[in-house]
Amino acid sequence: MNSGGRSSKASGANLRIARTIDLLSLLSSSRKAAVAIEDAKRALEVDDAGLEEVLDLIDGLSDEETGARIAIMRTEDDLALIGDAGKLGPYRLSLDEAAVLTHILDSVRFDRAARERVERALLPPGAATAPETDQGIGDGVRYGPYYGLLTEAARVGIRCRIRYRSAGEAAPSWRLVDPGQITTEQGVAYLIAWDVEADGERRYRLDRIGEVTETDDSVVHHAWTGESTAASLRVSGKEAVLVFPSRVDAERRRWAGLHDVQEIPHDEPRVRATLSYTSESWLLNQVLAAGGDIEIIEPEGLRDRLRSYGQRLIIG
Amino acid sequence: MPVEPVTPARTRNRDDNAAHRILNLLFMLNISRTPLSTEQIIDADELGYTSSNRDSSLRKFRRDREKLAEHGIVIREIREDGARETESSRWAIDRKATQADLGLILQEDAEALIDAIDEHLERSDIPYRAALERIRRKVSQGAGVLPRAAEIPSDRGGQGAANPALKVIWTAFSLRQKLPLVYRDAKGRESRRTVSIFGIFTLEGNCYFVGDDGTGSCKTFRADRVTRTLLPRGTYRIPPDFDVGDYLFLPFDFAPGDGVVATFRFDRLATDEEIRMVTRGRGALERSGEETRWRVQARSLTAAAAWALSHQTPLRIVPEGPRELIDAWDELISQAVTKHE
Repeated sequence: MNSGGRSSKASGANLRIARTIDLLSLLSSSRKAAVAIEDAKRALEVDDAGLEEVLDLIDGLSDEETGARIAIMRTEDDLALIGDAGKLGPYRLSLDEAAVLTHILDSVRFDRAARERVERALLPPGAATAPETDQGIGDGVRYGPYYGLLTEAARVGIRCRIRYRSAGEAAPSWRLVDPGQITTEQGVAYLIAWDVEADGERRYRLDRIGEVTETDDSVVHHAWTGESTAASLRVSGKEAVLVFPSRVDAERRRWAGLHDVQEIPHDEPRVRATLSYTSESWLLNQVLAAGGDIEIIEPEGLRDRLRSYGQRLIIG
Repeated sequence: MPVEPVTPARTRNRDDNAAHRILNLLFMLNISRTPLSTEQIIDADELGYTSSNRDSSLRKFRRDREKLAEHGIVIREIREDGARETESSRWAIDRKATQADLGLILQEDAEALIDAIDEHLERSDIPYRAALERIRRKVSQGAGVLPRAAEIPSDRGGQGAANPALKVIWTAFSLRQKLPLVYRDAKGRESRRTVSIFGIFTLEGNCYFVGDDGTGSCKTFRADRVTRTLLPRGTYRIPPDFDVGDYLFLPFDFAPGDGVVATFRFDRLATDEEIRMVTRGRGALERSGEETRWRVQARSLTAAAAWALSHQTPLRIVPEGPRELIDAWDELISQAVTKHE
């Protein structure tokens, strides 16, 4: 990525150039060299006026020696490139796209040989080894060492065994699963898969998967729901009623299972909320970490277990 | 269906003129079957290099080539070995360096890459969505992509939840241009700053950017606390030793002073990935037999103890020192237990 030498007045020009190249590349790569106007606006991240600006620029391009111009025809809904004069690409990636691609390849630990082919095909000269290519993009999400294997199994339809330890388990165990897809929620990557033995859809944190092996079996059709963690907890979790110092305090924790947050009359700013959860030890640890800021109201037995669990953890 | 030609409409401003000149250069070189001479290029009225100062025109032509290179388009001089650049030099698009060689990408490479791109596009916290979509289009051109074995409906929000400020932040960062903005801090106080953005990262579903707001030190800003942005202006360079990984913060980073080294021990059953997920590449991990210890600088020992307690399940993190950290751990637990008596 170029890191200097641009004049401030050139920033508008740079965006116009990028958008014009994008539009011509988009039209060139499209079937019948045509795209819907709405798709073009979305791809260029522009509104109607921004698209007009790009089209004006294209309309002004010419080669006086040959008389060539770029012709774009517009219908009510579509743009179409007429003739070959405006055909561009497919070009290698620009420097900021190269930085993004490098970041993605790093974060999912893309297969080394495949990565080399992708980089040779797409990166501009020198970008693969330039220190600044991935200098400034970071990600707290960890996809783990099995991302490639699991996405391939999901795509091809291979049943797998995964060694996994859920939040409430003392030791990992093997699960037989039909992989569905990888998804990310609140900065955590999950495998959505069908637990064959439990005959149900489950989410497995990628960072907790200790091993994956493919079986000789293929996946079978399942009634996937794609439920979020919050929806899944509401359906299958246990419930506790908690009191927080304030609504802000409750919401900043971003617990997927937290709902029905309500101010306590005559006791503002404290709020009462319901928490759906699956792992009791996880809940007890969060309450201990809050050091008395959070109180469990119901169920009563959970209050008792918090006391005895906490006393066991004191180091002294 | 009614059809109408696109018509030119408005008066060009300075940015339009620069964009027009550079794009027309690309257009002329793209359609020309033979390389164009320097003279043909700088004398072409439609390009607008014409100036009473020949050197100035040549410099402008060189800058325009550099600008096109930023967009992935390499203009190469065609000349004999050892010859100098003269007005009779000839220029052409370096097709090998410019055109993507999509034939190198195997079908399975394209499918794996598109899976990874699609997974990232589902996230609302990423600032580089448009760049990812362009990459996806290019990869898709080279290979038809088979549908997945399982199509899973989504109720996770996806693109609709994206913060509109992310686009502006990414654009300023990718252009290396300072971004004037209004920022609301955690206490709700608004202030106007101009930030040179050195890096961008996502953490726990939020997007953050790191940069110098004119004070000479690096600060971290949360993208969803940017309430207003103005047009980026003025360039900057990213310090060569900058590493955005150093800024993936932990909850015990926020207190005055340098802090002290805290030591934690992880459960022997914790996977490497689990440990790396919570430690974020910070501090030093030491493995001895089945045990893993982590030493890290902690500014707030109470926050460090709370962090360890909140990750008890399933990592069973135990604080080992200093003594003040263990006291803070015990104190948090005692307070919670007392609350439930």
